[in-house]
Amino acid sequence: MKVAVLSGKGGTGKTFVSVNLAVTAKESIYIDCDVEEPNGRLFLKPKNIKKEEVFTLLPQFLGEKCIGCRKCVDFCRFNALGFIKNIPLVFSEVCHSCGGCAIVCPSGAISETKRPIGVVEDGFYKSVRVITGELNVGETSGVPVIRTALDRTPINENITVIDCPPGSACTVMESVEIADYCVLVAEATAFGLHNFQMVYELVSLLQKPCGVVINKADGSYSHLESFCKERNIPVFCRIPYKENLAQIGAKAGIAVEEDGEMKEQFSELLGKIKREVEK
Amino acid sequence: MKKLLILSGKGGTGKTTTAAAFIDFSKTKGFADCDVDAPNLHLVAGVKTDPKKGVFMVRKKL
Amino acid sequence: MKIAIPVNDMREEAEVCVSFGRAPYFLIYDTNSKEVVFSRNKAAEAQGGAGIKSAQAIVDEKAKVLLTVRCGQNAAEVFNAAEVKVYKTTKVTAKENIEAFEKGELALMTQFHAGFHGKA
Repeated sequence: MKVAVLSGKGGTGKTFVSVNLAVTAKESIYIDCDVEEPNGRLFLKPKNIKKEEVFTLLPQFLGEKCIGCRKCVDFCRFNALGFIKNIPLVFSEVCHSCGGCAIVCPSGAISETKRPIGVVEDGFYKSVRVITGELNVGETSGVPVIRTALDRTPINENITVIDCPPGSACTVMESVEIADYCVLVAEATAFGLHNFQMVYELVSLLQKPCGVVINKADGSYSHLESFCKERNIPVFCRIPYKENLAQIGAKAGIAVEEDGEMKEQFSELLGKIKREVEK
Repeated sequence: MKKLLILSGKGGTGKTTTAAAFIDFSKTKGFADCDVDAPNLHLVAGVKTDPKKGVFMVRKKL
Repeated sequence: MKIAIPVNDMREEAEVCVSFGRAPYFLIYDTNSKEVVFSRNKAAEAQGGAGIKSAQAIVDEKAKVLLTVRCGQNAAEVFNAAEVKVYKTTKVTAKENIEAFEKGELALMTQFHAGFHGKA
């Protein structure tokens, strides 16, 4: 069973919910797909880490074979190629590694080389396997790193928790694609609701079943709850806005291991998700 | 014209809240929400008029 | 020799466009024939790599000089390879800047901003 945890707004508690779900499930896999700012490993502190570098492809020109037809330059929709003084130029940060230039080249003057863009770490915290994708600073897209991280998931595992990036664009879609179920973490604030609506639209578009965890719930903002009610979106649990939880979080502690109430709430949450998936 | 950039790395740390405060204090003539994936600044920056909306188009090479 | 300038519309008195890669038109001025031609910038609405594509177009027009408000690193790399000299404009209109250039009043651009290359 693969569960994607996403939120739209940053800082609402995707990593908090993902980490605690994975720890609650015990025999589980936690995958951090928030490759621009992976923080799950700060809580889980995995050991015996194996690293794999992630590459993207970049065209390489064999100058003597180039006949100067410019078909590659005209083909590149990302405008990553130039042709100056009969020499092809490649702009590596602009290239999207589609490989089209090598295909359209009539003289076989283009081959592809690898360029590193990030790393996937794979380790363990107790019986939780912790996989972390990390994108190098300044890179255009985290999608290849996310794909590599997700490819490490064996089939038929007990539970895989996918900690998604914020927002509702490409990297989120990539992370959600393989999920059986989506847990939407939302903050009961105007900001939280606005971004929640955006991710809700995304998971509806992808036809993924979903349920909601309201984090930092202090009951002062009711619009989120009414939005869920109107659309029949199940609200699984409300995590209270409490000082001791903030303290545990601030020092990168795991709430279900330090707080009895959280332990209970998360095993209940896991049970609800399992039942929803089996439906 | 001086341009002030507000950024954070981690989500939910207060980029929008800080920006809204600066917008208010400075009586700035212009501001932009570049968090296009999850924009919220309009909710707090006191935007009172109806915005003009335009579709952002990119040209595809055919 | 041909001089290229990014402009907002197709007039000699047109204002220089603050963006190079996203300028709607380029004014090409031939210092020998005094002839002015305009070309539509096909990169203006490109999803990415607009600077590179625009620079390529300027090189293909056989311009040897570019007068511009600013210019990105990728475009600068294209100009450097093509030996096109990039000068910083000091006046509002294309015409005024051409006159200033011909009088030797414009300085070579020394700062090129980091590309936006769709990274934002």
